[in-house]
Amino acid sequence: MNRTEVFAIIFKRNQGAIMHAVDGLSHAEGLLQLPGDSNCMNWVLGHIATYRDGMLADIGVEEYMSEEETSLYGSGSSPITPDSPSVDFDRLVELQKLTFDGLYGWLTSNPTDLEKETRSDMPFKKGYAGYWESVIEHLAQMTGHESVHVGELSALHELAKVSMTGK
Amino acid sequence: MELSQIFSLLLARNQSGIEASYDGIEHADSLLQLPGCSNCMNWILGHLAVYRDAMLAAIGEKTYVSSREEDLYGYGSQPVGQGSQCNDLGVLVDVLENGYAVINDWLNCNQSDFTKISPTDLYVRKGETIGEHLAHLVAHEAIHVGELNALREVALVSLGKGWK
Repeated sequence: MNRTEVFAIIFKRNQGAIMHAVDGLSHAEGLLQLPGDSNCMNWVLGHIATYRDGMLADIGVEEYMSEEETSLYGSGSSPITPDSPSVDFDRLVELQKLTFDGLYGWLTSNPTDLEKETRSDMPFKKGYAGYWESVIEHLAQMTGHESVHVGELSALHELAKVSMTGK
Repeated sequence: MELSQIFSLLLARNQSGIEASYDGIEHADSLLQLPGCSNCMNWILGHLAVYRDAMLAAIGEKTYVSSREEDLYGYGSQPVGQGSQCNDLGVLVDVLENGYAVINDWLNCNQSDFTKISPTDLYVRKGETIGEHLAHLVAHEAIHVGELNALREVALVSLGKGWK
C-alpha cells in the first residue's frame, strides 16, 4: 500500500456518505438547522467543496469554484441561513462530484510529485491551497478534516427526512 | 511524510475531536437524541471503541472491548437510550484513550509493517493488509467523530450553555 491509496480509500468512503446524505433533498432542506451552534447542510457541502478545490489547486488539477462561491464557505465564514447568500444545492452536489472525480482520478494515476511545494500564486484564498509546505502534507491534513465534516451530514440528513415527513 | 506519519496524524485528529466532544459532558447528556434515526453520543463512542479494538487486534496488541460490548455497540446494534443497557461514559472514554495511546505508539515505533496480511478473525476486517484495514477504519472513525459535533451541541443546549 502506498500513501495515495490511503487518501483514495478515504475520499471514496467520504464521497459515498456525501451522496447518501444529499439523496432526495432540495435546496430548502439544505438550510435546516439542528439545535445549538452547528452548521446547516448547505454550509457543510460548500465547505467540503471549497477545501477540495484547494487541494485540486495544489496538485495542479482543474479547479471548479469561483472566489464568490468560496468566500461563503471558508473557515470562520458566517452561517448560511434562508436569508443569507448561498450557492444553490444542486450546484453544491455537482461540485461534490466534480471535485471527487478530480481528486480520485489524480490519486489513482500513480502520481509521483507528492513532495512538491504547494502553490504560492493563489489569486484568492481557497481552502488551504498554498498553506502547507508540501502536497502530501496538505492531503494528509485535509482528508481527515473532510471526513469529520462528512460525518456532520448524517444528522442533517435525518433532520431533513423528519422535515419532509412533517409536510 | 511517511505512511505511519499520515496514519498518526489522522488518528490524532480523530482523538482530538472525540475528546473535544465529551469535554464537560455527563453520562446522562451522552444519551440525548437528535431528530430522526441517528444515534446518541454514548452509542457512537461505544461504536468507536469497538472499531478501535479492531485496529488494535490487527496490529497484534491487547484489546479492551468484551463480546457483550460488541453486541451493544457493533454494526447494526440496537440504539442506546434512556433505560437501555450501555456503558458509563467514563468507561468508554478510558477505552478510547487507552486504545489511541497504544496505536499511536505502534505507528511511531518505526517498525510498522503496513503490507502485512491482517488476521482473518478480526471483529471487522477491511482489505487484505494492515494498511488497507487501518485506512478504512480511520476513515470510518472520522465520519463518526463528525457525528459527535451536533450531539455535543444538543448536550450544551440541554445544559443551558448552547445557542451562542
